[in-house]
Amino acid sequence: EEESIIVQKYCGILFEISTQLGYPLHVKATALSFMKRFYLKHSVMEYDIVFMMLTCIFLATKTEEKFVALANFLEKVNEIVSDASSLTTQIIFKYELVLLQGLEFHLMVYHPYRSLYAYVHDLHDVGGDAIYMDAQTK
Amino acid sequence: MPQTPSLFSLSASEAIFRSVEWDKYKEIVEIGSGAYGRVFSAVNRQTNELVAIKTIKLANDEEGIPISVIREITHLRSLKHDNIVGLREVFINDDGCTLCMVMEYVPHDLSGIVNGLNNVLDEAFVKSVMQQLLSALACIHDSGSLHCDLKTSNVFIHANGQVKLGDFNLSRKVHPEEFGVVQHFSRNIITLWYRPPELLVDQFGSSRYGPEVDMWSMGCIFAELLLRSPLFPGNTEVEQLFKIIQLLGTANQRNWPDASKHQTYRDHFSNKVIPNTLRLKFKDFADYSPQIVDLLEKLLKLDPRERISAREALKHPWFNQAPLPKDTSVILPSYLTPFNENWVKQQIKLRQEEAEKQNPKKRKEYPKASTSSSCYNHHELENSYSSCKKKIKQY
Repeated sequence: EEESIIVQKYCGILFEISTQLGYPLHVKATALSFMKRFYLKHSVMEYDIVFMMLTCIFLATKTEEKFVALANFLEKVNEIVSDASSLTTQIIFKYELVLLQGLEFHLMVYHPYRSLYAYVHDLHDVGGDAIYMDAQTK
Repeated sequence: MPQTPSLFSLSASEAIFRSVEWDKYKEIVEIGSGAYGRVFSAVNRQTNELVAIKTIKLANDEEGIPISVIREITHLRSLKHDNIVGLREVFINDDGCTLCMVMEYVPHDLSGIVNGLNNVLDEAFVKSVMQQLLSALACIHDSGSLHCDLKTSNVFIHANGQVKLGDFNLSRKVHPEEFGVVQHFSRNIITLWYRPPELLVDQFGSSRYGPEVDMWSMGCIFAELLLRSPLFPGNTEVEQLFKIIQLLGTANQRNWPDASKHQTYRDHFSNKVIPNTLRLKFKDFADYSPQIVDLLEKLLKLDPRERISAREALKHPWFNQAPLPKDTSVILPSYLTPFNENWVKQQIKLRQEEAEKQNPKKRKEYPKASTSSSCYNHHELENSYSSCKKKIKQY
């Protein structure tokens, strides 16, 4: 539907923003899962998706032990996103609570990357460096 | 960007949350308060289960919800195990600034048992506690997490002897090495007394840590259950390291080759040779059951790579020897007098006050008395252990 298209689009944006913020893959993936989980239960009409997207990234930094102070986080976000100046700490607080409730406090996200990396590692053992490098670039 | 009308609906939904969630419980009694907020005990109306409700004030400071709370929720939500404190539900209060965590109520903790009820610590009981703890820990490690704050006051225990591991404020996920992520571990995980040597010598916190750090703490808890007093009660990091080395001996090429790489270790121990006195200290137990000391030795390995894992430790022959862990007949007192951390603190305070009354001049020296009291425990230990033996033989 239209809503899922919107969520899809913002998931892409979320990924770009968090890449620019320099977060590792597992933080990005967790933030994405939070966002998708949240909008399974809620409509994009209810909560502002831009704010929610940034809150997802912020919460993911907490659960994935890549925590940055909120002030720094906002500063960086403002550098990257031009129209986020209306984003304040107050809004993040509010949205963080809503997000937690929306996720029903299920914050643990297991990613398939672990298996993927193990697989790549196995390839390395079998096929030597050439395949390993190839797989890493992909 | 549309202006958010959502903030209105937010407060409305929270009001609903409050009335629904709190109404599920009756007999709400405040039982304590901590740094974050107050703790209540209550009874679930439907299941009649006794629960502890931890309320956490969300002060609108810089960081939003404290990261330790996020950690605890994250891990407790994902872990379901008989020996891990169950998180029943989490909700947010109507005012929007109090987070409530509903957990099962477990009255006692191990620090209370060790200090106040040490006559129950017979071999079967210790074995049962260790087995339950190790199986909880194996579950945590299998799910890719670390507890990182194992200590006796975080091991809760039911009156029927069922152990519940709690307090996941410091726990974290580990990622396999292939992840290519440099994991930034704080060195300040784990309470000092239970901190493994590799964390003490590593000044920059640059190394990678795994489940081994938890296993060291397990070794310390095990020893504390046997001795009835903490094994390495150091006050500073250096003192802590000294206490460890004094018991386990200096590191050499064989038992911890990496030690000499660390500056801190070289500063203090480069020219010394201290023998391993672990077996000497636990001689009484070794005479009685060699497997006890064998397991302890495997848990308290200086080299983290040689330390036994939780799964392996569960297969240790000690757990299959008589008395079996299920043989424990210990029944702790009912929940009306919880033997827990707070109780211990109260007792220490009381003892101090008494001592001050008796000889007010000695007041300043009293803080050191903890060492003398542990010596006292040590004497007492032999007596109580031999009485334990008798009990076991009577079985």
